[in-house]
Amino acid sequence: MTNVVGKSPIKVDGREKVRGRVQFPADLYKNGALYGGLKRIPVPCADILSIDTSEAEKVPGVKAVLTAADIPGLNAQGVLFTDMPVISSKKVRSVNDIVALVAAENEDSLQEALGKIKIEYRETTGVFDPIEAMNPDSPLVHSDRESNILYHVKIAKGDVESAFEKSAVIIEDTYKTPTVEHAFLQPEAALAYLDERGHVVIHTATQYPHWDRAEIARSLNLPLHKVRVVTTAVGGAFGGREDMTLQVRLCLLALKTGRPVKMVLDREESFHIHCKRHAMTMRYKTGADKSGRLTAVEAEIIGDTGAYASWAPNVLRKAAVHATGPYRVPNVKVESYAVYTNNPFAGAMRGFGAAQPPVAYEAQMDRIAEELGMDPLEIRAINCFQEGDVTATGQMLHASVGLTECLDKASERAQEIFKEKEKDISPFKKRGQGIACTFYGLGYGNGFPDTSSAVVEVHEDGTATVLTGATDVGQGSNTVFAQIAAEELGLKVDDVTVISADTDVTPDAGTTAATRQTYNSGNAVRIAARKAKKILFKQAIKELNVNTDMGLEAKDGYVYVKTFPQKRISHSELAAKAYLAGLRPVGEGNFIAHSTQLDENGQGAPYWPYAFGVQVVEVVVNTLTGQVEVENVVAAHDVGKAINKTAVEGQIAGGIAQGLGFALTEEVELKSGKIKNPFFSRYLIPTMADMPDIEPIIVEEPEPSGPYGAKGVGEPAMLPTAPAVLNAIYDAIGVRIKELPATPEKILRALAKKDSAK
Amino acid sequence: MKKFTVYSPKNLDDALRCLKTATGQTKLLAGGTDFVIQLREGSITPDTVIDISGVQELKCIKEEDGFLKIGAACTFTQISESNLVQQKAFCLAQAASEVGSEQVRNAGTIGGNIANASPAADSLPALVALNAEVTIVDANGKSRSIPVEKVSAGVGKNNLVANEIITEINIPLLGEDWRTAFCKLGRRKALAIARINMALVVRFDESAGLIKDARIALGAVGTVAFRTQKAEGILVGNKPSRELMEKFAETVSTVVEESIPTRSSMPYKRTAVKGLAFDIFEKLFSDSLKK
Repeated sequence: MTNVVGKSPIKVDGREKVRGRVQFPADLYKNGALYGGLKRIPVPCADILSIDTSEAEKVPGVKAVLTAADIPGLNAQGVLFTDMPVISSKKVRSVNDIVALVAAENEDSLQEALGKIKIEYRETTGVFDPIEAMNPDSPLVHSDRESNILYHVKIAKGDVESAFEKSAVIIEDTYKTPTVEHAFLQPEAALAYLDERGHVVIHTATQYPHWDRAEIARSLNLPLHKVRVVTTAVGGAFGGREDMTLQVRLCLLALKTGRPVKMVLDREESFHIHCKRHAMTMRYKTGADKSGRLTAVEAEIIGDTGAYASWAPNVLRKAAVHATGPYRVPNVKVESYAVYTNNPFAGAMRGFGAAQPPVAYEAQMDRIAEELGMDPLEIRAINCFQEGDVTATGQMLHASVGLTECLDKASERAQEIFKEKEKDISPFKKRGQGIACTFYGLGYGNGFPDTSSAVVEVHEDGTATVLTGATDVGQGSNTVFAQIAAEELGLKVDDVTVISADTDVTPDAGTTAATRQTYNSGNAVRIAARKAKKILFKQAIKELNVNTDMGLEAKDGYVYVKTFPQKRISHSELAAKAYLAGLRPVGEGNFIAHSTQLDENGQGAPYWPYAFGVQVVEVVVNTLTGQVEVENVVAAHDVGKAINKTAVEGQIAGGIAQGLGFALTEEVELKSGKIKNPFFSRYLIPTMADMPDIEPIIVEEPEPSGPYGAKGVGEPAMLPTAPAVLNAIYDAIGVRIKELPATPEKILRALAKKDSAK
Repeated sequence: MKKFTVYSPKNLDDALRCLKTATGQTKLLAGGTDFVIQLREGSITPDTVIDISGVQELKCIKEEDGFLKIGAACTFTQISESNLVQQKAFCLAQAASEVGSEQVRNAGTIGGNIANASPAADSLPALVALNAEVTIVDANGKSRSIPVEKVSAGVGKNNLVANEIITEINIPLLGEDWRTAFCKLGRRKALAIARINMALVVRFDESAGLIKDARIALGAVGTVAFRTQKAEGILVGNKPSRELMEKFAETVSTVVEESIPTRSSMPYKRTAVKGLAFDIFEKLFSDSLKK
């Protein structure tokens, strides 16, 4: 029985956020700070002929106009490959590119100087369609490469050809998802300066301060210990704060001017500076026998990474590994490609390549069921992963497979909600229901050293501090860590302070990404807390006069003998005595998630653990306006163990909101590499008024390697929503939308096509 | 952003005094929900801004001389929550409640909505169907009155001269036997620019079950919201029924097709407007349709 874990204490920063006291980077001020700005050219594809900064430098109040030549270290950035210039000097490959930086005493001087930088350039032919870009005759986005194909991975298991021959039903089709924006509320902002030691310091909202430090140090040619990245409160991230945006550039301005420099982007600039979700084209062929058992899946997935790699290989690998869905498929052939184009660059976004394939494979499942006259629930029930099953990559799912329980609970609850409702509301308003099952492998995967570190210190009054590099991006990891440390030490959440994501203070805990912080860093915090407790127990042995710490437990502010609870000592007394005795209850914890690299046939154990989810969605479609109203979502998610139930429910609601946007309204409209809708009046995310009734169901199939059995929920929460909505639209009006978003226009066009086919 | 002078008059006389030296570069600021965006975009570059949000005379809603009178600086929240508007011009209260979002409705004003001349303005179809007139006063205190649809001079332009200000919107009061409704189609439920909006105002003889009079206005399918006699003719003299509803929807669809024949959104809007027509008809005549 746990005491703090599994409860729902309010978030450790909740009160301050509600009161507006939390500081985001734009809230930070420093005396004498300069205004920083970025210079772009108005085309996505060009050769730069010359850059003349002389007029800009003459503007009164201007302190620096920097170009590529001013970078002391490497003029390149990138999480996997350093293919994105910090400042472009010869070539512009996308609307993301920056050609100069300015720092000035005030906003007016800054704007004037930005306008006076003279750039001569010659527009070049770009390539904006990834399939076209794969053609050897296409212009190369990076001239030092032989092809625009950045990455290709194959998964091959069994023999798909002969399996298709023996299949009773085969469904073949192509599905597309668009470029999508993270749409976090807080646009990029940062404050950089040199501290009294001459170290470069930047306060910013990031997902991984230690990585930012590495990139800043590399480009500024500084040792790591002379760079400090402090993470402020983060106003949403969703993968959009993993690449360098302002970090290196602003630190360079601070270094060159010797003055603090602050930059706050507006929404339009924000759209242009961070990555996007990969648009994907997914060609699928799925076979099943007459009983509905899947026989084979063949898929080709092409992802548009835009001008820069960012995480593309890992994203397209994740897409490939998840391409079959959470189902037993004996014969699999998947080819997945990441392709460079001159579009805005794509990178990490919630789901990380596992969000697009469900749009294809869950439609395929419904279509097979329909062909065979089966119920969508039934076909999923007979194919879904159980403990002991083997995935497309040959990985054995040896534990924590809660998919059937999710399926049962979600469909049962959905039945209760929907049973009394009529399908035909009016001649032009139809109700429908859709289901989708998804899975998600946590962590960086593929054998990458996926490590988290934490330190826990118990103070002489018995309270404790946790230090960890893990960023709380709003999802609540600091609260989860406080709960875990409190649980292990026998304290209340209020007795624990979590200090996170400051490179001068906290140990590296990896990225807040891949749904890995509760699992990875949660484990590290737990290990650290146990070590600190072990030291406290040394003193407790003496104080309680026992011969070993084996029978001791820490709970409710006391350490006591389990078999004789009257024998106890309070934390405050015990800690004080331990300190007097020269002991220091400090523990360090490291945790490495285990995974193996895929072999040449895409076989291996690329991720661990896997989280599962099932959502049932109810929609009403208006066949005249094409509008889809989502009325209800029942969402069952196997999270292993909910450390904080309310936080899990919050993640589920947020995931559904993002999934609904993905399904119905969100698309970064691109025209020859330019973003046509870089503002929230035309890039439409759902509002509160658009949100359906949500019923979260938390399924807890414990993961033996997770803290208290926990896996995670951040990304898994959004995966089933879009495919379930598409299946519900089909159920309502009999048309299948295969290209997101399912806009009213697309729905009306599909309806018209269906009518004319009659 | 270009620097400019801001005046903040506290009453109408002061506001008119500020207008005396007004030029084409003078802008009136009320709620700012369009103005500030245009300023940031650089699509307006005023040298003088007169902030009329503090002018109390422009913030009243009252019934007077057979008119419902709404001050130009009344916010949409004020209008949607006003008992008087809900009773006397229900479709306007509805339209006001569907503007933007809570925050936009708290700031945005009806006068600003009219003067901004957006083809998709949500208050316009309701005002047009209600036969609203707008009182415009110039710096010398001279006033004139024009039908609300005449304020627009095309997308984003109005017929006011530099030294004029909209002070009031006057809506002739309707008798007890009138019913009104408003419908809007957006890409989401809040913070959505109308793709089509529609108001329907009818005089309905309950005992005879007959529609005696009808005024329909359509928005976002032309440069300014407009009445459609063609669709009105379908309704007048008839009993509300499913057949009439369908005929009405078909007619409105034709009206949309004729209004924006070359617009790429036309094929969508001519179908979608039928959905709106059904909805608005059901809102007004649910009693008759049930029989």
